[in-house]
Amino acid sequence: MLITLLVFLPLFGFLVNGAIALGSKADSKHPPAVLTGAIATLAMAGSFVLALVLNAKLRALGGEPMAIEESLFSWIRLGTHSVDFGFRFDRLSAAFTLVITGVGSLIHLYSIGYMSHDSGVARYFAYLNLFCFMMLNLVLGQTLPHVFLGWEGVGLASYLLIGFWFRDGEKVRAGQKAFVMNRIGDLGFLLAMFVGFHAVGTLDAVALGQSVMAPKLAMLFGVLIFLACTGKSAQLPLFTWLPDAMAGPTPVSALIHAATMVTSGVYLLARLQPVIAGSPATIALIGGVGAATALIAAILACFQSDIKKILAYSTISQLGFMFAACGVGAFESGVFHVMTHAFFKALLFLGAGSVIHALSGNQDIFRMGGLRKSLPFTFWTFSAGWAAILGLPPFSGFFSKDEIIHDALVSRHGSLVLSGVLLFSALLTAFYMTRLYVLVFFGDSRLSAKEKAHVHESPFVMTIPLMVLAGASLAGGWFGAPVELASYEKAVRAPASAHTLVMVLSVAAALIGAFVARARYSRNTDSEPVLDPFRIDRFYGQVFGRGVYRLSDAIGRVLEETLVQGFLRGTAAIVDLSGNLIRTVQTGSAQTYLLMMVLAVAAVVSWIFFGVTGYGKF
Amino acid sequence: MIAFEPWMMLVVSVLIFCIGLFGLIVRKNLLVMLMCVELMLNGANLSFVAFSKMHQLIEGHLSVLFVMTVAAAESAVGLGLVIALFRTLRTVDSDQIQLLRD
Amino acid sequence: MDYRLLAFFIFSTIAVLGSLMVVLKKNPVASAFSLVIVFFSFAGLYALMAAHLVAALQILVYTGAIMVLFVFVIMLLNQDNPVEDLRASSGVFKGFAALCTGALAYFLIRVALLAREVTPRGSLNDEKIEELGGNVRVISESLFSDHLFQFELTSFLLLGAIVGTIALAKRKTVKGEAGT
Repeated sequence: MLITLLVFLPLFGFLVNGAIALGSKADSKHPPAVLTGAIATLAMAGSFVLALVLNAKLRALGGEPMAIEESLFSWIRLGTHSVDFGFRFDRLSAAFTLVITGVGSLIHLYSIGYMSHDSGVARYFAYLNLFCFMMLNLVLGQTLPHVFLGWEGVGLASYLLIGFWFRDGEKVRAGQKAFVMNRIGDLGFLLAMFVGFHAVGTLDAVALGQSVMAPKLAMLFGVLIFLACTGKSAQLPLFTWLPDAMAGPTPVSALIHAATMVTSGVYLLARLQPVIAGSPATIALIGGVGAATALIAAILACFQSDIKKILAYSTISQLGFMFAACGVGAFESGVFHVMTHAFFKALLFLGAGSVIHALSGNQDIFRMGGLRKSLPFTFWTFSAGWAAILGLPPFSGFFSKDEIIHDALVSRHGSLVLSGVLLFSALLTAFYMTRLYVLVFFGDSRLSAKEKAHVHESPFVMTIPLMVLAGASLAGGWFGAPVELASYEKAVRAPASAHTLVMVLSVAAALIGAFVARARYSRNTDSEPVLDPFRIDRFYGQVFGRGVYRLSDAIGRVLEETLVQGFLRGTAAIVDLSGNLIRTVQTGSAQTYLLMMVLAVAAVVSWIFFGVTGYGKF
Repeated sequence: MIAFEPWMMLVVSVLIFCIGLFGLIVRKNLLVMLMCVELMLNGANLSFVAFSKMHQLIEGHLSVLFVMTVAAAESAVGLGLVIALFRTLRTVDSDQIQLLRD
Repeated sequence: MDYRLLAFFIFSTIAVLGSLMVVLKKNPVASAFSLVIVFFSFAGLYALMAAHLVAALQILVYTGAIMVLFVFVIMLLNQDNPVEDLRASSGVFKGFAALCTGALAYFLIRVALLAREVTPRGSLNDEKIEELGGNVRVISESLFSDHLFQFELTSFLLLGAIVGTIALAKRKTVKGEAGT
């Protein structure tokens, strides 16, 4: 009963706030943020308390496998197969549930202050509670269809919240972009469920994860699941929606696009871990994509000037770390990093939100500076987050990031290259975070006069969550990895000296990155051009573009200009011709489509009854 | 001597269904197209009752009741759409309504 | 000759010819009245299979309600020039469509012929139904016990259809006014 209550409390908050939002629509006076916020926050805090209680019960339970299960009803019945609607609370779910409800409650509390000036505050809290409800379904669902329900639900909530200020077309488009790119991944999830059901005949998440599939099916299943993860968790081919998703309110970015939703890919991999890890090709793909994402996103983060975009790219990069961990078979390190990352990235986002709130919407780090004195609470808590993401020793990021780099080096699936890439990404992380930190909080103030007059420290309702999260970022790493997953063949035990070496190297990388950034940006703030949005493009141009230019110059010198031209024209003509040919089929007349459908149905009917099953005996 | 048997109904139902389908494909008048949909639904209903008879089960009849409900809803909404389309485009010719192409 | 076989042939011939007329008649009104004929003959076919409730509902719902709706809409639109329907589709298109649907019909009839030797899965033959109190009673008992939930769901469907139709057919209010 407790799990059900835990999951449905946020839904209750959503319904109440939704009713308030609908009821107050005609009224020009919006409901007070304190009231709606209190409802939402209390719902979340209640869930958090329940999660703590359940966690204690789980630990008292002992035995293997530890799990508390609650089946509510039979959801889908197909012949002899049945999919139950129910929840399972085991250690992996417990870790995620605690993070979601804990960080979620803090962010709800923070939002009361952040959204106090907004007229859509009831709608905001309703969406936020809806998100938490769906996210809890995602991590507590017993079966993959249930997880998928949550998976789609968080996508919906994310879409609604990115486009929260729906009068701004840009933001609505950002929401649509996120939604559409997630769809690509969701297709992978669906197909993976088909493959899994075909191979094993069950959709129970744990049973499926521990099943034994034929190697080819296991690979297909793993790759499809990973495709789903690349969408939701913003990995390499599909990551571009996440920076745009920063159009939403900042607490949303902190909760959904940093702490919880984007880590659901890691949850999924960890949940299905044995079968995923059983396929060497899949796991190599995951590791490679994760490391590449970590590196590329870190590079991109160095060229941003919008405070939230830097943090968004940073999130992508950190997610890359988590996937790299999964990709070397160290799933529990990945989950550990999910937890610590949730603390410090939520803290950084909320700190950034506090800065933006103080500056009435200014997000350009080159137009900040010297905020150390005027925003003391924000500064000190942000410092904790900064130290944590850099991986400086007593802070939480140190433990988890270090663990990942170490695993990437010594694991059977890892390699020197992989850990080297991750180490370099860590260096870049230190660089861009220090760049942001120095430009925002140190040096001379570069605010406009109007902003200077207005700048103020945020109210306590916003700084208290910051302080709690700062404490968590400081201490979160001491607990160690929250789950012990039956780690797959991590066996190759390295000497302890490797661990020390990695520790020293990663701290050194962080310090180098930090010092380079400090040296560059502590004095150069004014000479730096204010904002150059084309830097990313220029970067792409320098790295990829120049190579292509050289190549094409060579080709141009070797081949006759006309030959190339003729070839290009010929290609264009072929494309044009085939396009026109296919175009005739696309008449726009529904009836033509219908005719083709009938043709196909006739073919399928004849095939099924007279070809495959042989009922007809032609 | 041949006696009447339920499977003969299936042949009729297939014929009616396919005639309706043919009409749906070739007719351009939206109203007639909706009628053709009704024909197809009726063909399917007939096969439900015939199968119900063959298998000596009652569920086929229930399916027919539900199909009738759906058909009623479908034609109400469909005709509402036709009226709305006619109001904006002044036509019920499906060839003139090719918004899918643009 | 078995009178049931005779009735079957009469009704099914009327049904097939009538549906052909629905498709081939150029004037929508003529199509609509052909459709009425088809519906009546269907009711006959149902009665032939001792499906009395369905036969009655066929006449009530289809002929009574749906057809009236169609005729009303035809009158409401009152087109000056009935769209020249069949001429609008090209001959090739029509031929191809006929070929496709013909092929589909052929395959489906082959499938239907497979159903000649079916072993009944239930035991509700005509005598049993009589014993239980007749066709209507048996259907009603099943509908309101085993399938009550689905039955209630259809009420939602109908409600949705009503709301949708009203929303569609409602005339727009004054232009420029922010409406839904």
